[in-house]
Amino acid sequence: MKKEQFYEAMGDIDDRLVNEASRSAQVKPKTWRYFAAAAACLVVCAGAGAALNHIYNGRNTVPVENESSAASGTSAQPAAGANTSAPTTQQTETINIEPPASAKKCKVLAEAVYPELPPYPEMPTEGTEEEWEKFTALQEEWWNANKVLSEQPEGFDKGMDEFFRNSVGTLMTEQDGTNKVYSPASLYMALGMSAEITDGNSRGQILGLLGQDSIEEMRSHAKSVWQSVYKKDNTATCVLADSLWMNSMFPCKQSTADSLAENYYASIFTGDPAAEEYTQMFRGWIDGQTDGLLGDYTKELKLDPDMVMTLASTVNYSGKWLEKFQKENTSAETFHAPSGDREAQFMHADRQTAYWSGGNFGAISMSLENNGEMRLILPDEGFSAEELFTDGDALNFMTSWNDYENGEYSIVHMSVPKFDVSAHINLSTELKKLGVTDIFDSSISDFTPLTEDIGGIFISQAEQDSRVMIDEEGCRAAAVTIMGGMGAGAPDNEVDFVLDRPFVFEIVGGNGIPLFVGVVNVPE
Amino acid sequence: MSMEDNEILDLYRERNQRAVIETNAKYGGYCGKIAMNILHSREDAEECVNDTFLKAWNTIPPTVPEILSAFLGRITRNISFNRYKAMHAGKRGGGEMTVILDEIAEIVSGGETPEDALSRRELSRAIGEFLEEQTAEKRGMFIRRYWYSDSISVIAKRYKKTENTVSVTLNRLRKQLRGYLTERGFNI
Repeated sequence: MKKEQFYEAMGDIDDRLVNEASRSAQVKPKTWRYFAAAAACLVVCAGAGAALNHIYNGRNTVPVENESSAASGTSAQPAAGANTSAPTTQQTETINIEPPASAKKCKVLAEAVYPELPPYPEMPTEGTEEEWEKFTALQEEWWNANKVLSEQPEGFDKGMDEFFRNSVGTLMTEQDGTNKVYSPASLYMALGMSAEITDGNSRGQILGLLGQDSIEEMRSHAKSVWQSVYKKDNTATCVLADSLWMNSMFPCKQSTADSLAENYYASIFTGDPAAEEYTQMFRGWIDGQTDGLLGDYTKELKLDPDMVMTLASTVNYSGKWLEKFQKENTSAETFHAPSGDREAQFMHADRQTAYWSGGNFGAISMSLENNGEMRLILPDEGFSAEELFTDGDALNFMTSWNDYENGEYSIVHMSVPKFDVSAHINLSTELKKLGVTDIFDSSISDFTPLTEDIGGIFISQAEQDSRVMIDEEGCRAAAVTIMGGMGAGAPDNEVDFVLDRPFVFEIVGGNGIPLFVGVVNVPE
Repeated sequence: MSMEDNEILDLYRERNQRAVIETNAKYGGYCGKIAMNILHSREDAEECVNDTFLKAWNTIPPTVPEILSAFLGRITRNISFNRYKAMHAGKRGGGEMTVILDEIAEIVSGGETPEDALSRRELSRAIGEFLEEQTAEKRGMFIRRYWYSDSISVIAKRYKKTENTVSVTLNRLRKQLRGYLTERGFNI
């Protein structure tokens, strides 16, 4: 007998003996460093005071630090001799996002404190016992820290499904042949913050859209949603970042600032919106939160000099496929776009996985390491991608979390085009269609929780900009042909899943929270 | 807290892809160490661990392992050793694995033996029976060396022995095992 044969026979000794010799270490996943899907989204809601210059009465002006270095004041700068008392701040340190030297005027009223997550430890390169024990301990620490955030009370996502259905039914249905990307999670957080800074019917309309019975419930659920998707380590990223940018002439009530920071993980800034430096800091914050993915959009972004406040909410997401596509299997093929056939790079893989058949669509999901999953939904021939957003069955699939029933374990021959799609949504009109109207009307809006130093505040601008891209990268995985070698559990059903015409994608985070949804009409 | 094994197995039965994620979460390091011991290459070990989880996905069901860790570890060990053999076909590999195989060469003749699954199963059972007759410590040392492919120094630290003591113990066990198997008619 050859020594190799004996070594193999040794491998088949009783599991009980193997287990006995094990130290019963229960360890966690190793670090995968590739990223397969990256996405970013920004919601901007700018609020202005109605006829700002006339209403302003010179009270409670907040001069900037180093005022002499400030850019020229806005038309709404206070008259000489006006009260120069500081706003009701508790934290007044200069913000630490590397402002230009001349931008000392900007202050932090409240700052979000993110949970600290330990990095995933490096797998030892040498197999000494001490290294592995240390590795195991660090893995346990990493795992437990993530579990604390992902395990939220039952019902924490109350209202999310209905909000998703209503909003995609309004935002995603136009059949104009363009790509569409929308982040329900980002808009949810932005609207939650908007509810926090409003009162009366203004708040009621927002809470109604989000399915919340009270502002207290909103706070609790927003915090849980934020925590449930939060990932920030060397394995995955998913961060919902929120901020409120105040005009320094109008102090934000500290209790409101604190609630935003506490419940929505928001940072609150104050400064002169007419100063270029404040706009630069605003852009810098967004670029920093989205890793520059929205650079084409943010470089054109400016704070309105007449604003009372601007609210910004971002989602930064990156992950890697649990099963990677092999680059050598990617090839140029034809995608049938509404505007005509064009070439796209198609990734190919054979997978044994669940294939869902809806009334008007077929779908698969691809897991991302430690960061939810991406669903790919192909409408049946003769049915448009956009129509799926008004199709009850398709919406049931999109809002499901391991409970959509029409799935069959199948061999799926996948052809998925690489894509990098972005979209800009003007939310003002769409939010009004969804019943949120008062915050856009200065005569009836109620922003008293934000400030009572100026009346007639209304939302003058609300928009969302998003971008999602995918490619082959991800954790390395064996080809299914190797799996087939085990000869057990192979599915009977076999499906060709070829995304060579417009399709829908959805990225859901932990616990099924919808982070992004979109239509790829042109896989750029 | 990690998911219980029976909960992970339920995910496999439901064909829920979270099964792979939870398996990786709980046993990624365990399998990684086994693969590293054999291959001494982090990149190769990572690939073998991934292959392990995909094979588990394909195998459960119908297989329902009694001890999930050992089940996964065995798959990792097989995949890693197959890769080791492919990488070192026709040449000495070097490293700890070569030393381990040289030690095993003291048990076997080194001659050609027809592949026979039944005799391999019988051989495995006989090795197990031999180990059952040993003290827990000796049994553990042997399995750590020839199943987990641990180095002598790692085993010495685990059992708080000198490396020399471990080497001597393993040497004696190898000789005893050879005699044990020969007595029972195994053509090794």
